[in-house]
Amino acid sequence: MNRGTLSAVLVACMLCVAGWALAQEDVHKSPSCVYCGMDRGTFSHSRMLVTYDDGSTMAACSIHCLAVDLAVHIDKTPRSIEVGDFNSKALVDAEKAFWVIGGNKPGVMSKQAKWAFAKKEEAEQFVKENGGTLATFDEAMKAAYESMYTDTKMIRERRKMKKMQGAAGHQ
Amino acid sequence: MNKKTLTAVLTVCLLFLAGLAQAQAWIQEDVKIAPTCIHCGMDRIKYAHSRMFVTYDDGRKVGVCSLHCLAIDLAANVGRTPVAIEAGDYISRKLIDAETAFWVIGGSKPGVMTKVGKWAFASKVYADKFIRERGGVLATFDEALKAAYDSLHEDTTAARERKTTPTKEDAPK
Repeated sequence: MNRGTLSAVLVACMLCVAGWALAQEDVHKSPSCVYCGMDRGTFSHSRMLVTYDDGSTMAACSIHCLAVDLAVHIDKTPRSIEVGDFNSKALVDAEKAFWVIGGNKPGVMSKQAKWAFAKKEEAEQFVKENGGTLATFDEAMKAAYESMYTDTKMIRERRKMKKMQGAAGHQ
Repeated sequence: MNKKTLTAVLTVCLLFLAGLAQAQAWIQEDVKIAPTCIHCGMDRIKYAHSRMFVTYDDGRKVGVCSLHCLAIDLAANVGRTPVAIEAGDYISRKLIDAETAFWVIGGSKPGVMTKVGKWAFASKVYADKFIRERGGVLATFDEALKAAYDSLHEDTTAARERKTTPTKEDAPK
């Protein structure tokens, strides 16, 4: 490999890293979910970021926690809602994204998964490989609220169990 | 007015005042701790018939105006386990155990923070009476809570529109 090619490869690598870092900028600012405390880097493929009309922002791990925040802050109007693209992990407009509800991949904070894709072909490909149905953001939001009853119950029970196991381990 | 009549009138007045004090007794408990709903800010005395009060395992006590706001609080606090969930009895306004209460979903009376009302009754007799007079269906607490989550999307959107849409009073003069 000559010097020119090496430089070109290095520049390309650096651009890739810079691009990735830029795409995940919100994760550096808000590394964990406001509600459940989960790592937004680990869940960058489902993370969400909402900016309200008063300029405040809220970072969540999933559409489940976003739904909670939207219900808590009814006095604010969301100016923008972004979601991590399932494949590239880059933040995309949640309302323009192609959503998939369900499928065989376990959801984040929910039994019924909800994933966002920037491209329709990629969402369709996911459905082909993993199942689920194509949906709009509004349909995914509605599904998030409808499964919140069982999800909240499930999470609470899981955490209670972990606490009990932790307490037993210390004895 | 003779002595006997005066005594009778005084007794009636005292009994009335004692009754009034007892009826207001509930105000001194949870409403003192939480006079307004932690989520929507609504007056919990005005909505005493739908208000709820939850105590978590870490001792945190939360007062809300309705089952709608309780559902939000439970979802926002998944790290905590509720040790007691109480609801204002629709008839007496006293706090009762939400899980053993008789719930009515729906009916002609508009709900609090929701289109579909969810009311708690200490006695099944009064829940049945409500259904006969205003409609709705008898339910358990679990069923009422599920119904609250199911309508959360629609109710939240409607509540946000109400809160953020300027009213006639807000318009510049």
